[in-house]
Amino acid sequence: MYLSAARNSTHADASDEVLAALAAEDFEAFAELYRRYLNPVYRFLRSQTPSVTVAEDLTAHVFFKALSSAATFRGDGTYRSWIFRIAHNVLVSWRERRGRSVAIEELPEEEDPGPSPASQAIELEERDFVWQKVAELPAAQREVITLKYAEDLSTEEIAKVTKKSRGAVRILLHRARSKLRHAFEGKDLL
Amino acid sequence: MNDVIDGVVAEALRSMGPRPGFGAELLSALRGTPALPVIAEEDHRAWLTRGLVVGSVAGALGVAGIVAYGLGRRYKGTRS
Repeated sequence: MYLSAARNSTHADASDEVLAALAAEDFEAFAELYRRYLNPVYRFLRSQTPSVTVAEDLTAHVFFKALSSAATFRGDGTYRSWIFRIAHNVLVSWRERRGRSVAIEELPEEEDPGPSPASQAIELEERDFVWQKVAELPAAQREVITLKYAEDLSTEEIAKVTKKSRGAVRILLHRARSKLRHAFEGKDLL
Repeated sequence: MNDVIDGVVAEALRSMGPRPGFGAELLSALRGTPALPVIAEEDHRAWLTRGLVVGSVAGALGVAGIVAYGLGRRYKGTRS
């Protein structure tokens, strides 16, 4: 069904799942998915790792894996959940190799290309402060809050990606929000 | 209050992106990586075996691609 639908539409117009069904045979279909998910996957990994270099290496790992496993996508979930699950697995493997929970040691660079008007509205200092507070969250809370707020994943999708129950995800989100609310008290952010 | 926190956190997290050139660099490396062919599943008894084979080959191809990409990055790093 996905394949026949894809042949009648251009890549740019096609849904993620249609493109995913073609990606094993058609590199341009994969490239369109890559264009859609490069930034989300990168910023998810950047928010969980201490440096740009690590984030870039892990991002590369995710997309090599997504391409080489493209034929295994079965369409029983969204492509977004599928690729973030790969990203989660890559992150978990990296953490295991490091042998310790990861703390963010440096803030992201200021060279982000083309910030949106909305992001420009947040002063740099405030953004760094928010970043620092998110970085100080325990790894599991940081991961769910990034998936929720930066990537708009539903609780159910986050549960699938992180292999946790929906209840566990809700608890992690609640704890993370409480900590952030506490951290932001007295600041001019709210 | 929660909505404000959500908005502030979302904007801060979404404000970052990869460095310029990274996307094109990685896409170029990906172009050289073979994707697996789609295997028809006419025989359900063979499905599990094929799944294992596909998974193993996918893993091997992914690792090969990552190694090649990593070596390329390190090689470029030593030249600059």
